[in-house]
Amino acid sequence: MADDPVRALLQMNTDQTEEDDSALVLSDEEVESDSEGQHRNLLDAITSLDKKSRIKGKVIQRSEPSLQVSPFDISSGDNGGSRVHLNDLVGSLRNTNQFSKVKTQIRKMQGRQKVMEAPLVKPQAQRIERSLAYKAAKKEVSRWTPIVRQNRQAAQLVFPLHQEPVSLPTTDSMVKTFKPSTDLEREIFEVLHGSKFAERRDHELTEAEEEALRAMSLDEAFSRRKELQKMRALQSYYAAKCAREKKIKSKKYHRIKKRSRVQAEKLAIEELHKTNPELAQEEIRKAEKLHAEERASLRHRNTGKWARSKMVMAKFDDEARQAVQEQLDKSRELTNQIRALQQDSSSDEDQGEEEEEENGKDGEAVTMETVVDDDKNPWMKSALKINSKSNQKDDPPVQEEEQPKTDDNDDEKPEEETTEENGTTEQQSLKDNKESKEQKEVITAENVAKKKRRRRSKKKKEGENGAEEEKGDWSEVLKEEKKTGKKRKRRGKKTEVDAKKSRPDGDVMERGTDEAGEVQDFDDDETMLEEGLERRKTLEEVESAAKRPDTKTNSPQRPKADSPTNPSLQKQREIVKEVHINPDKFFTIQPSKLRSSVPTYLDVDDNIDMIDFDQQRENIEEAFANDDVVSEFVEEKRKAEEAGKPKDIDLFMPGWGNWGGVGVKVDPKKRTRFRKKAPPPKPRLDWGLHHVIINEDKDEKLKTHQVRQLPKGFGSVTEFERSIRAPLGKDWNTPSAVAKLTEPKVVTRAGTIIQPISGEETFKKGKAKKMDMEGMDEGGKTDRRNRGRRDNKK
Amino acid sequence: MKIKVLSRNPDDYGRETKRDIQRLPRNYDPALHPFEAAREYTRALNATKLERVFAKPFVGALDGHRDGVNCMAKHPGSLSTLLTGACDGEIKIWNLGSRDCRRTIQAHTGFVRGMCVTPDHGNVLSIGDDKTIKMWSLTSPEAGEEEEEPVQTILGKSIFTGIDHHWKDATFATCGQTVDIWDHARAEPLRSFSWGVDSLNCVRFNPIEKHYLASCAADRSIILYDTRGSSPLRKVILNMRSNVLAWNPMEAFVFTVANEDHNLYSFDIRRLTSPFNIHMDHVNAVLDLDYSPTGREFVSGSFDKTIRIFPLEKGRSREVYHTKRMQRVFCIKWSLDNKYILSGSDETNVRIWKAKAAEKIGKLTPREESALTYSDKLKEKFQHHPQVRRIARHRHVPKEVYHLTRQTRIMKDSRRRKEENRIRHSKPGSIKKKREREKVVVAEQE
Repeated sequence: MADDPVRALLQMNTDQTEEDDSALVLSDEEVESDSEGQHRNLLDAITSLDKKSRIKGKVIQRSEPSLQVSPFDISSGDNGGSRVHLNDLVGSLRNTNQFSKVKTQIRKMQGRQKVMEAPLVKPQAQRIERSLAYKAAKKEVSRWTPIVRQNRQAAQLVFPLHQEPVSLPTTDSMVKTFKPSTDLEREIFEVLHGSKFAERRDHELTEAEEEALRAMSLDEAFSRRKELQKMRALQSYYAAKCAREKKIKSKKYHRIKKRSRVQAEKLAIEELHKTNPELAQEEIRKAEKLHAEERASLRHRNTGKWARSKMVMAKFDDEARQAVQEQLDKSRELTNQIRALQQDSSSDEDQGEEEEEENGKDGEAVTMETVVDDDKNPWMKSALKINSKSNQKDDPPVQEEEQPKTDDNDDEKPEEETTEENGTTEQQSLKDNKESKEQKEVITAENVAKKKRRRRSKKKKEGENGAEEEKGDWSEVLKEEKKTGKKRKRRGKKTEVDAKKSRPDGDVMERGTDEAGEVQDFDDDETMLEEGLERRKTLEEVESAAKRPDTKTNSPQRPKADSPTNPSLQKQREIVKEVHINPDKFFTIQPSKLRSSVPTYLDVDDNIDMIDFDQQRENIEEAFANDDVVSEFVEEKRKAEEAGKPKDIDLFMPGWGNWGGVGVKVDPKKRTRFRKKAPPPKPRLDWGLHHVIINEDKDEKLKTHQVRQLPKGFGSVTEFERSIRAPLGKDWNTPSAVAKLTEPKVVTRAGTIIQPISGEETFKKGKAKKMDMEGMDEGGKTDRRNRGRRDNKK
Repeated sequence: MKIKVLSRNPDDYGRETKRDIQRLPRNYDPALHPFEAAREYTRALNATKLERVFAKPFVGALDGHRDGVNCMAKHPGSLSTLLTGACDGEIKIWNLGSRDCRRTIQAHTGFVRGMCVTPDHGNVLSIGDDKTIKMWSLTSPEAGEEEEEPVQTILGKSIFTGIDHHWKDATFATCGQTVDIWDHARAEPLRSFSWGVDSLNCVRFNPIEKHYLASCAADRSIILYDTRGSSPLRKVILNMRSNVLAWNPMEAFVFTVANEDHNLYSFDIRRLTSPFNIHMDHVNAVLDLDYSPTGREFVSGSFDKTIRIFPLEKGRSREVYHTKRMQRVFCIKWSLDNKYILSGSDETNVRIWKAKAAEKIGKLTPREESALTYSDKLKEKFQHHPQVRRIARHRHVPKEVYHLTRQTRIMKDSRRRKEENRIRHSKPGSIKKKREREKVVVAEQE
């Protein structure tokens, strides 16, 4: 295989023309020496080329590439497609052990043997080049898209866009560069910086302190340092504690905390009273002042923003209702306590140190009397409002007036009685389960209150002033009652009615408490939440009507339950009823499906819808029960018709063609003769349509000023109208608002060259970050200035 | 205990100095100021009327050329300097503040075709019909020297029709038979671009992405180039020839061309299949245009002897300027402080106009300023109301323009009618209705 390439070459040469052959031979000849024998040998070899066996092993020729070889010689163009392959040329390398590097290279080359394609035609190549370049350009330019969009949408652009940020020097920067120039400054500077008493930033102690420490003995220094450390630690603990407590959001926690604080203060005052009566008096005076302020202010009345907002929610939210209730209770408590305090002090003065229990009782009785006496006082207790209310009524039952009082007195009775009560009520309750539950709740609540009182009376024995406590208890009892009343309310009306019905009439006290509770509830609702009793009841009626059409069976019970308690209530209800059934005052309205945008499912279930509709109508009628809409509308229409009619014109002038003056009689004929009769009115458009008024006199002149088509950029007519309705001028807006509203879109300064927007400025690396920092430093002012753009943030 | 009493802080009503305006406490209760919409409408109407009353845009004319003003150049660093080149080869440098000619240079024989100031503000380059590029120093010669000599002269092979300078580097581009990129230091172009056209009439560098160039050619095409590459980027062929091209100085990919077909077309170079806006109103070929430095508007001068100002996003002009004596407007520029417009026309005059016709020139007091901004906002708010719109839109135009406008409208209507009829009477779907924008571009070549 060693002579493979040579053979190939020779083979090719034989195929070539004679001249070529000789040329190659010549070249060989040059290499070889020109001895005759050898020449002959060569000739032999050439002539016997066809016989391959002859050359084998005999002739070892050396072939060397020559520069003079014409490339055309080795063409493989027309000899039957026999191409020269690389293998033919360097195949001999395979047998040698040398040239390993070359061999690997060749192998690699052979692996990816591929023919290069012919270059494209110039126009085609250029087109590709252009399209690539265009794509790159597009991409490069596209980085501006967000900026362009931002600028187009900006509410205001201030040109030139890139202005150097103007910033005021900060204190820190001033301090850093400060150098004292005057004598005074120098002196102060020395004191602040040179003195050893000056505080140092990175040291705990001042120089002087350190020196002092050093001057001490070691033990002393240690103890001193320890002390200091302890103090510091305590301080920080305390601060942390305060911060922690401050963070607690629970209102209950704060309430309890405040209560305990107040309690502690009270105790302190009492303590003081014993030790130093003068100081105690001072304290009491302070408390009095506090209460006076409370009375003067409306702090815990339901007039505040919070309270009003809560009251709006109260209808739907039990918690809100409770919150408002609590606040009012608080105000009541606060305004009452002053009386208690006074009483307390007076009793203290009078009786000195008597038995505590008696003292408490006495105080209680007195307060009750005073409260009952001055019912004109607006700060009186809520329970006693009932009395005033009942006084206003036509026929107030005498018992009612005293009922709360008796009730309270009952509370004061020994425990055995109450237990008896309990027993009796329980016996009664066996009849009806629900009722018994109800009763139990009331009485258990009372019991709890009593237990509490007992507990406190024990405390009293330990030496506390009782009157205040007693007061508080009393109010607490009231609260308890109220709460139970509320619960009852929530249970629903039916149970309440049942309970009332089943209650024996003879049990005055029981009924009294219950009624008191109920009436009080009613009263509370009216004052705080503006939630009328009759309204709620009717709503419930409506509800029950919607649920069960057979509520009428229950209805006879109602007057029975109500009639003995509250005649006025019934009256009101009757009025409401009247409105309900007034035959004259309603339109027959067909439910129109067309106008509503809300999908109606009337077809699916007609019955339900009709019921709903009825209910809705009832609701509406209830809502407008008092204002007589229908008759008002009829009247309005009548007036409109009247105004639309042409009027007679009276052209009569007294004294014209006649004697005039006082006492001259005018001929009525003359009067009528000068009256110009109006033509008969045109038929109105809304004639026969009872529920509409069509205004026919529109202003034609106005038409020229009105926009006929919805302008571009507005989604709807209402949107456009809204844009017109909002005024811009300073008659309607504050100066700052006017300045903001009338901001021009583009602001330029005269005499300032506006350069084209520059990429270097806009896409500066880390510019955004830097700007943020600046913005933080200077309140974000520079940020806006720097961009020259104000965004649409409204 | 806090007791509330009526009290007034003297700061609220008193004045700090005697010259202060008395501070008036105001009650903003809407019940006290009724009919706000109606009152503001009246104010808007009055403001619109007043704007028309005060709309006097013509500031002054610069007289001195002996032939039509063919080209203009703004000085990038000086608002008061303006350069104009006339059809007799004369260049004049004007001081706009005092409205006088500072220098006159006889630069070329034949037309001065174009001029541009170098970004270092030192020199001005001019081209003329004499196939030369000449660089002139902007510093005036001292008293002794009387002859104006160019700093540098480059002899070209063919006529140059347009020149523009790179916004930063010391290179500039000319157009004629090819677009050539030149360096200040060399007499041979650095690079030449050609794409099958033998005559280009305008070349402009992009002011933001400074490597890009665009040119208008006589074969109705617009060609984009990148000076960094060896070949142009893209070519768009319109219905008619574009005379001038201008890049938006605030939006890198937006340019507008002034076309022979009376319209201006705004293109986004990323989407050249159709312009994103057509600006119509001229009734004859548009010869020149220039963007306002804010990039929101541009001004165009036309063969119909009018100047119009178009907002970029609107299809119609917001303002038209003309005078009896002003002839074909060959060149127009918007001053770099966004306040004035400068126009050069056939009848040798250079005119100065206000960019906002009713704007008061000079310093405004704060009250004046706030009143003006308020009335501007009112006009904007009530712009859709017919009376306000009628007054705001009313303009007087020359008879010729008026009639031509009407004529164009009739032509357009009839064309539209014809198209509609064609659609109506052919098989549904066989003829698609083309939007006006889609008709503009004939071909986009890669």
